[in-house]
Amino acid sequence: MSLVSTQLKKAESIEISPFKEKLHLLGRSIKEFWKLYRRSKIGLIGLGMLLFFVAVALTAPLISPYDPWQRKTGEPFSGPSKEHPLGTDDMGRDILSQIIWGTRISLLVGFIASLSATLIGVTVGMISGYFGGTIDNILMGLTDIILILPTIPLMIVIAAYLGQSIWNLALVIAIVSWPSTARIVRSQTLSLKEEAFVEAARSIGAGHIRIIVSHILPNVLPIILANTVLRMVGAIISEAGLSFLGLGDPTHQSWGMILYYAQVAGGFIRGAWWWIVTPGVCITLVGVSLTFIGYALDEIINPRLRQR
Amino acid sequence: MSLLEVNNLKTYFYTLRGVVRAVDGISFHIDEGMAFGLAGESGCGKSTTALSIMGLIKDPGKIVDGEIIFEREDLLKKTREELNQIRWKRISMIFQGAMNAFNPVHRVGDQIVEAILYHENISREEAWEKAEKLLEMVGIDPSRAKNYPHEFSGGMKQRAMIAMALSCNPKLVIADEPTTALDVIVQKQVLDLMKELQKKLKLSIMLISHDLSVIAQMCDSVAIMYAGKIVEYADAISLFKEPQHPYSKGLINSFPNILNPGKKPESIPGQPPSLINPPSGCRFHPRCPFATDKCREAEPHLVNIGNKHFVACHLIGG
Amino acid sequence: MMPGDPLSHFMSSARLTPEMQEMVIKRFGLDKPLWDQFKIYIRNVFRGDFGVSYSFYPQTVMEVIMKRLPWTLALLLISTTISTILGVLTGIIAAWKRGSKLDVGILLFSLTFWSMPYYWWAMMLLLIFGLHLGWFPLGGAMTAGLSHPTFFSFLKDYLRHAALPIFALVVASYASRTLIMRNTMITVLGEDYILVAEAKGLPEKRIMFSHAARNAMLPIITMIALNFAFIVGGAVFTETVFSYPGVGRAIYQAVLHRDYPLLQGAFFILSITVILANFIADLLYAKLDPRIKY
Repeated sequence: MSLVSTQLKKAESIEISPFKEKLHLLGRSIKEFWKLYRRSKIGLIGLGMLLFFVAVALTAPLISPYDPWQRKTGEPFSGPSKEHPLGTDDMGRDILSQIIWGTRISLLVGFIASLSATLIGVTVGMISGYFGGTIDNILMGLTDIILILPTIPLMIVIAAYLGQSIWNLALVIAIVSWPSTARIVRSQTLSLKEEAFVEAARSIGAGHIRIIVSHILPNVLPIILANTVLRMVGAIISEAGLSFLGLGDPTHQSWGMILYYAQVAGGFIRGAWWWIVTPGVCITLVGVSLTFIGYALDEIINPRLRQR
Repeated sequence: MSLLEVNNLKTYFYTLRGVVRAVDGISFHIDEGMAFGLAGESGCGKSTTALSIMGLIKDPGKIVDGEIIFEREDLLKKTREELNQIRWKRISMIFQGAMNAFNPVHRVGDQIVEAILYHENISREEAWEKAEKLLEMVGIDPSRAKNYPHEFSGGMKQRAMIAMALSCNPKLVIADEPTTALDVIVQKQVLDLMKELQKKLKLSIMLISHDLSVIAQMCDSVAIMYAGKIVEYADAISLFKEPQHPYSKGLINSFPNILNPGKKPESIPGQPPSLINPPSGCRFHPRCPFATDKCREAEPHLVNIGNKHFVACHLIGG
Repeated sequence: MMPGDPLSHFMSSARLTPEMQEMVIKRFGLDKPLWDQFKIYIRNVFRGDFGVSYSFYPQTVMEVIMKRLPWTLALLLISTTISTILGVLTGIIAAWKRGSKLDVGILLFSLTFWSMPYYWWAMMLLLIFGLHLGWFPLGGAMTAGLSHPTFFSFLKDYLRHAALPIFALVVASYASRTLIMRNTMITVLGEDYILVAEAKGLPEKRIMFSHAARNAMLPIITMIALNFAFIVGGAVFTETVFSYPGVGRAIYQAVLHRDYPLLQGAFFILSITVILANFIADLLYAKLDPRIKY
C-alpha cells in the first residue's frame, strides 16, 4: 500500500524533475543504502576481501615481482622459496606473478559476463512480462530451451565452436546465464504490471517505454542486485572451469589457465602442490567475498530474513 | 474462582528500529464459563496478548514482566514440555484468518486427530471418530475429514478450526478475530455456533476482535485496549450502555445505530500511535477531544468507578 | 567451415591416402553445400546416428557414448542420492536451530564450498588422498587387466576407484542443497500452520519433520531438478580430473581433439538425460503435492 503511494509520488516527480535532481535523489539513496549496509558485519568482510583483490588486479604491474611470461626465472618445478613465494611452473615462470596478473582476467571476465547476463536478462524479462502475448511466448520459449540444457556442457560446446579469447568466454557465460535472470524479472514485471501505479502512469499518458524504464525497472533492480552479485561467483568459477578444460585464452593468464597448465604440463603428476593450491584458494576467496556481499544485500532488500 | 488471571503483562519486541511495547502492563481475569472480550483497533496488542498466554511469543519478542495464572499455576514459569501438556488440552486457540492455519499437505481429519492423539490415550480409530463427530458439531459433513484443506471453503476452514480447537475439551478457548475474514452471513453462523458450544460445553472464551458488534453479541465482560494498555474494563452491558473512556465512546459511536438511523457515525481522528515511541502521559491524548495538560504528563491508571467498572482516564475517576 | 577445421585435423591424425580421403569426404558428405549437410545431420540425429567419432575412429559416436554412459549414470545417481539426503537433513537442522552456533557453522561451511570451484576441490582430493597418501587409485573406474569372478569383487574394485570422484561430487553439490533446504525451511517455518502446530502442543521434532519439512520438500524437488543440469556439468570436470571413463570425460577429449561429432553427440545425450530427470521430478512433485491433480 505504501509502495503504491510512494510510487505515485515518484511517478509525478519524475515527470517534472530535471536530470540533475534525479542524480541528487540517486546520490541520497546511495548514502542511505550505505548506512544500512554498514550494519552488516558479513557484508563488510566480503566487501573488504573483494576490494583487496580488485586492488591487486589494478596494481598488478607494480606489485608483480616478475613478468609472468618470463621463463627460467628460477628452477622449473621448484617449490616455495624466498625468491618465488609460490614456486615456479614447468618453464621456470614465477607463479606468484601469474596469480597476480591472473586476478585481472578472472575478475574482468567474471564481471563482464555477469553484467552482460543481467543486462540481457533484465531487458528480456521486462519486455516479455510487460507485453505478453506472442513476444512473451517466443522469448520464454528461448529461455526455457537454454534453461533445460545442461549448463556446463552447453558452455563447452559453444566455446568449442567460437574461438579462444577472453571475450568469447565472457560471451559464452553470459549466454548461459541470462535466462534465469530473465525468468525472475519477468515474474516481477507480471505482478508489478497489475499494480495501481502503473495504471496511474498510463492514465497520465505515459508511453510504454517510459513506464518500463521509470516505473518497472526501479522496482526490479533491487532484487536483481543481489542476484547479479551471486551470479558473479558462478561466472568466475565458470571462466576458470572453461580455461581449465583448455578453452581459455592462451594469450592471457587467468587463474583457470594456471590450473590448466598445471594439469597439462605435468605439474599434477609431479605433486607440485604450490601450483595447484593457490589458484583455487583465490577463486574460493573471491567467491566467498561475493557471497558475503550478496548475503548482506539480500538481508537489506528482503527484510523478512532480517527481522525474524 | 478465576480460571485465568493476567497480571501486569508486558510483552516487548526488540527490533532493529527500537523496542515495540506491544503489551505494556495489562491485567484482567476470566471466570469459568465466562466469555471475555478484548477489543481495540488493529495493532493495539490484542493478538500479542493471546500469543503471550499461549506461550507462542518468538524472537525478537519477549514477555518481560507479569503473571499469567491459569488454574492457579503461573504459565510464565513453565518449561516447554510442561506448556505442551497444557496447550490445546486446557487452553486452545482459534487463529486469525484460518486460510493458512491448516497444513496443505495433510488431510484435515489427520490434523485434528494429531492433536487428539498427543493429548489423549486413545486409539487412532477412536480419535478419527471423535474428529468426525467434531466436524459434525460445527456443521461440516463428517466424511469431509478425508479432504485436504484446499478443498474447503473459507467458512468451512474457519469452522474446522473451531472443531480442532475443541478437540481436546479445553477449559479456555482463545478466539482471535474468528470472523474477520468471513462474510456477514457466515459470520452470524459462526458466532451462533460458538455461543451454542459455549453453553453446551461450559467453555470459557476469550474473544478478540476489532469489531465491537461481535463482542457485544458474545461477551459477558469486556476490556478495551489502546496502544498496549487497557483503557476501560467492565461487564458488557455497562460498557456498551455507558462507555466512559473517550476512546470507548468513540469506538462505540463509530457504529451506525439501528435505533437512531439519522445519527451519523463518528470517527476517531488521527492514527494509532507508534508502539516504539508512545505518546507521553495518557497514550490517547493526541486524539482525545478532551485532553488536558495533565493528560499529556501523567499516565492514568485503571480506577473502579463503581460496580467493577474500571476506567483509565484523568477526567473520570482521576 | 568451423575454426580448428576438424577435417584437416582428422586427416592428419588418421594418416589416410588421397583415395581414402576422398572416400571420407564423400561418406561424411563434407563436399555438399552446408544446408544439405545440416539436413542430413538433423535426419541422422533422429535416427540416433551421430556419425563417426573423429578421435575414436572407426567407432561411431553412439558406440563411444554408450560405452561410457553407464559409468556416468552410476556416478551421478550415487552422488546425487547421497548429497540430496545429507543436504536435506543438514538444511532442516540448520533451519531448526537457526541462529545457533551450529547453524552459523553450517552456513559458513556451505557458503565456502558453494563458492569453491569443484574441479579444483577434486584436484586437491586426488592430490592428497591419491598422490600423497596413496589411499585411492589415481584414475579410471576399474583396475586395468583385472578380471572379476564375482559381482562383489567387481563392486569392491569399482568403489575403490569411484570413491574419490563420488566424494568430490557429493561435497560440491551438498553445499547448495543445504543452503536451498535451509532457506526453504525458514520460509515454511514462517507459515501460519506451523504456529498452529505449536499451539497444539506438538513436540518440536514432529513439527520440524512432519509439518515443516514435508512442505519444504516440494520446492526442493523442483530446485533439485533444475540443479541436475548443473550436476551433469560437474560430472564433466570430475571425470576429467579423475580420468573416469564417462561421458563427461568424452566431452573433454572431444574438445581437446576438436572431435565435433562426438562433442555434439555427447552433449545431446546429456541433454536428454537432464530432460528425463526433470520429467521424473515433475511426476514426483505431482504425486507429493495433494493440491495438484494430474
